[in-house]
Amino acid sequence: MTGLGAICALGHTVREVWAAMREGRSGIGPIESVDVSRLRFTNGAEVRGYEPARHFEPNRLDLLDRFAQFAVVAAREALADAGIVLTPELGERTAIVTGSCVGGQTTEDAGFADLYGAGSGRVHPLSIPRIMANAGASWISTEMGATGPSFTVSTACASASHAIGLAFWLLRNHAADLALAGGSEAPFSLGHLKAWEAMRVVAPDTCRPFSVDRRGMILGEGGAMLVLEPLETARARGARVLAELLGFGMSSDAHHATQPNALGPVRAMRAALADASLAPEQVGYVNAHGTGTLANDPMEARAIREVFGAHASRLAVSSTKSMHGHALGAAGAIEAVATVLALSEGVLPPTANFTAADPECDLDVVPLRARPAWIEAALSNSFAFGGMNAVLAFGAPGRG
Amino acid sequence: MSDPVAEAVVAALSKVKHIPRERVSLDSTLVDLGVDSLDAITMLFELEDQLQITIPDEAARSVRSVGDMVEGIRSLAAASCKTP
Repeated sequence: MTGLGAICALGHTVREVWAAMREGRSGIGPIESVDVSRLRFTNGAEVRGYEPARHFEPNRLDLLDRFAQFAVVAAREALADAGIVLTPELGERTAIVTGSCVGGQTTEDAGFADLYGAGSGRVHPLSIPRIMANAGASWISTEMGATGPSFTVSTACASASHAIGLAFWLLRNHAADLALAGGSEAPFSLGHLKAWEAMRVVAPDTCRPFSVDRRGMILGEGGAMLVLEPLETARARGARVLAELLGFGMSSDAHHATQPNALGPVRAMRAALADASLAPEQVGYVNAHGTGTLANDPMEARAIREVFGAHASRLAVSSTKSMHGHALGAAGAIEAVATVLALSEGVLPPTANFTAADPECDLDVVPLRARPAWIEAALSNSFAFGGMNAVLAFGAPGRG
Repeated sequence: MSDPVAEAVVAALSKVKHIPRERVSLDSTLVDLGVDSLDAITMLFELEDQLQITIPDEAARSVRSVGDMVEGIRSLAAASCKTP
């Protein structure tokens, strides 16, 4: 990992996002982009003060849904952070892998509202290229001249973690020499929020992962991208190595569409550790999936206890979703950025909004305040609806 | 340019390409104006909306210039007037 880019409720750049995480400051607040008078919940983690015209020319904006804009904005920052300028030769060996759960659904929602509600009889001709879930990857590759492999993964809330893990495996298999991987999401439209309302998993107040009085998740939006390159390449060009991606593990619950089951997450965490050749005791921090729903958090705590045994009591586990909300297909990427920075900056981001411990989530959840700690390795967990799990294992820079 | 059809075409081009109306003339070809396939379908959408007409796919394909487009729309309008 040599470059990071992020835009979410905590800020428009990695620097702003990380400053908020270090302060344990939550980006959750009243939803502004959608009229909430018909909704049972009113809070979200929106990207505030974002002006698309500051980032894109008008003719480009016509083609870019908000979710794809976030992908491109984060990718630009990540590539610049890595100090890389893509030559045509390097571009041919560069992979772009993005995650998105719902693609350009704000475009779809607006178009269908016109069609069904206003009786327009037509849908705008740029709707399809704006809605397509691979629009983020497409525009990143087009803008940067990355002509190697590019694709998009859609595994609900694990999309970006799958994307980063698959990009890592592309590099390991010599299918590319450089990768930009991550995810983006913009789920704030009335239709989509209504669908979440009906799931009855969104908190009416805020996101309090692992707290006894937690009431559910809070939806978020944004994008994050990470630059991956082989360690020897990064060192050869004198790049600053932020962290090493050591392993990637996947599993499926094969159980239920939405009800979590600890067995799948256990197998994904074990697979990531095995892929990374890490012993559980080497891991000092887990960035939890930690949605703050009644069902996820005790399941995840059980799964972590199962994987780490007695070491679970010495492990720091936090959910940064308490600050940036659940950004669905972007979540895994924002959390990967948090995990990489935890390793490179020696600071574990906290679980914000924490009130009181739930005996069923008996872990050290780094409540409320970030904690200085230099750790050797960390996991980032993503467990999706549909029972699809992806876990990334990161190591501190210079450990190899 | 007092012709309402020509006005509508120029307005649609100006909107879709984000360029000043002065840059669009009847002699301009779509290539000159940098109109790609996505711009073209967006223009057709705008024109159908503004003029309350339906432009068939076949009629749109032969258009090469702004003038062609104005003529095409005039003949479509004329044909629809003749329909009983």
